[in-house]
Amino acid sequence: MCIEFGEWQIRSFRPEDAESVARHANNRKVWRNLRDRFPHPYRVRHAEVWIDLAAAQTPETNFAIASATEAIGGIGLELRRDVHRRSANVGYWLGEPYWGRGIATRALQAFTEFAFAEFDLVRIDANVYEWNPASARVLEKAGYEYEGRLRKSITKDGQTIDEWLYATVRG
Amino acid sequence: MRIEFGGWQVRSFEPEDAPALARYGNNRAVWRNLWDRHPYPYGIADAEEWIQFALEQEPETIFAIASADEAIGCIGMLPQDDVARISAEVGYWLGEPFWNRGIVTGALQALTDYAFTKLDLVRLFATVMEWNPASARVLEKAGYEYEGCLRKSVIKDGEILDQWLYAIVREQGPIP
Repeated sequence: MCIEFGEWQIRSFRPEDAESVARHANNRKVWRNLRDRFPHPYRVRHAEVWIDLAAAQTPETNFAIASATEAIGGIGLELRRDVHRRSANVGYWLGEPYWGRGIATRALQAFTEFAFAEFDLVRIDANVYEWNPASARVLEKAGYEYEGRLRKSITKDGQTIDEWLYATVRG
Repeated sequence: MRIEFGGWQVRSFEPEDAPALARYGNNRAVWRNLWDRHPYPYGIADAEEWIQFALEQEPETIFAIASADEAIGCIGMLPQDDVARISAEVGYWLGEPFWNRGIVTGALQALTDYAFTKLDLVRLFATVMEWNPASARVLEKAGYEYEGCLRKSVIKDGEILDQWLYAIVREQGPIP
């Protein structure tokens, strides 16, 4: 899979992405807004395990955000089951050198279009930690709407914090 | 586990609960507000499988709502993982002959107290399908607060529906 947007792209991970994924992921400021399964420190072997996992998933739901030369982040979808099977949760991260340039917004817009078309979804939602208003702005600019505050819903970096829930719906 | 409230109880399942659980669970009006993993029709084999599953949970998170004589429903929670490990989703159903008597509200208060005092949980939440205002009232009476409308978040009985999100949080934070 490859979706181009400007000079950037969303594409399948490649084994040779491990070095650049680890370089951009090994950042406490990135880790602090992600689940704990995204480790810190983040080494090349962590990137290799993640890239193998992404490649083994059917359907493929986790992709690289990339420049023409290397992976600079990740974006993915967690499909749900049972009565929630028409909805999914989206997550993303971008290497710090690329922040503040609209890349995450455009990646999310492109990925959202792809996901609705590819997976027969009517809803995609995202959870933002309360200390990450930049990510909430990304979601709003990409057309997601605020649905509510999930009080004390997670523990991260030793603190119990709220999340903001955003979603976009179709059909 | 056994918590008594006003002549009713929330207690651990027993294998002998299967016939009663199947009798009350085999109801389209019950099925319509639950996940599809609660099948309809709902037979004794389904009830036996569910009870077995409940008894395998460690820690114990799925319980019978019962009279002195028999199981009349089910209440439980699904602990979340990773950064959400301080949170669990609660769910419940009650046999139709026992509706509108405050039994689920009492059971939910008992389960909530158990979750906050015996398990190290900070947040319990529940999602209610938009066609089930009775369940929203149960949550409100048990102290849960409305947090938002999850648009088009479920498909049930062939329809795409909104859900209402309710939650209750433990004010003192995690137990050290």
